[in-house]
Amino acid sequence: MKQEALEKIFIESFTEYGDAIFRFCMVKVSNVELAEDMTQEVFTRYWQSLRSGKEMTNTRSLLYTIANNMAKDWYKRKKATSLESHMELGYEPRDQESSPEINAAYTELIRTIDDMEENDKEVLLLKHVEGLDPKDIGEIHNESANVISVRLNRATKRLQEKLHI
Amino acid sequence: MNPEKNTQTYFEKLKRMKLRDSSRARMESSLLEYARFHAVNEGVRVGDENRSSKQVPQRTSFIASLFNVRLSSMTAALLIALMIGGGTSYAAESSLPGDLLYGVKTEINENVQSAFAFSAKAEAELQARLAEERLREAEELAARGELDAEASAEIGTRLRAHYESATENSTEATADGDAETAFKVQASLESTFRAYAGILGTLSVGKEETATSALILDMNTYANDAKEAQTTATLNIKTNTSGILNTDITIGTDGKVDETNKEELDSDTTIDANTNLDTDINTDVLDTSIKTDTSLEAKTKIGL
Repeated sequence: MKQEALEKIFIESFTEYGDAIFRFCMVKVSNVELAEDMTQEVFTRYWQSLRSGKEMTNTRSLLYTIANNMAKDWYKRKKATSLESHMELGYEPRDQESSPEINAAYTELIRTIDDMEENDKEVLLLKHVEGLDPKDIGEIHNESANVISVRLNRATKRLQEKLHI
Repeated sequence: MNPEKNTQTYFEKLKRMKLRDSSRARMESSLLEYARFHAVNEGVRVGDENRSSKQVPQRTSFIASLFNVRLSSMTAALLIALMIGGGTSYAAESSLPGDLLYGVKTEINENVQSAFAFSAKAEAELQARLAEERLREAEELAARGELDAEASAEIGTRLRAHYESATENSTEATADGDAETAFKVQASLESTFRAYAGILGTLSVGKEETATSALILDMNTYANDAKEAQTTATLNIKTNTSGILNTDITIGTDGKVDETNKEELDSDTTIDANTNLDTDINTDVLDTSIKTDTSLEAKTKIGL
């Protein structure tokens, strides 16, 4: 496919799914700047896929898969270095556009579910915020829709407990 | 409040979590830049990460490709003159402003070097080197007490041109995805300018040389500009997600120049990696070897 047409698809995908991927990354890393960086990286890898001529049957699924894999790498690195302290102290805002209020609000939101299990957090986001059904969610994680449904129930209950306080 | 309502509210809030407008705009433009840089394979793209030798145009004639791509007929003629010419260009290398051969050094030799700069990065590095050469000339003249108004003016003008070209070309390299060149070039220029400003300052102590002072002033100005440019380059390196421009190009050729027909050249051209330009061109009249690491030096030996 020609460069121009591909660019159009690329930017359209970013417009449509940018926020969703951002939220996904936020759930993973609990930090606005980092989530933004990850989001950008997800889309650069997506471009590489587009450019390689791969058939794009399900863009959304592909994007989530890329993000998921990226997060795994990130976690590996996190364990290697004592990033936790680094993260807690606060990731340096890159530039002035970083609005402290928004950062704080989003971070607060994420903190609520921060101590939930990785998979549970994700599944809640994908179902209740992004509107994916268990089958789609399962595709991203290579798991069956059943497993996802069970996880969903458990996670929802956990969340209710948290919010009840 | 019932738990269901709680969770619903929570999810609603979560739904509103989005990329900030400014971030979104910035990311979109970066992504587009990235996409354009790593464009769909349509032939040669210098920044192509998956580049293989198949994607490089097959050039069978190295010199002919030079003639086609980079050289105007004027420069081509000069190149030929260089090859046939004789000791002039060699002797010119050590000349200073005011010498008879200085024109050969700056207008011919250095232009030939520029013709071999195949990328913005190479040109930027070359221009930085030439700027340094101008400064060396100034120092030499000053040491001899010969740095008069005319020489200062000439050096000043050329210095400015080299600095501007180096800046322009490293900006171009940055636009192509290589932000590190800009940083390196500007950093090296900054230290060079400051060093020579100091040297010239020392050499002109006690002497009433307004020409030299003007030159020193220029150097300090450029040094400050270069310092600022490094900050910009650093920002570019940090925000550049497209990776480093892979300007590694090695072109090795075995070429013979037929005296009577310069256009004809047999060469095997291979492209792999690392900014080295290695050519051996043997002619009946002279041996010309042009070697370069990250910059270019043209040495012409004459066998008589």
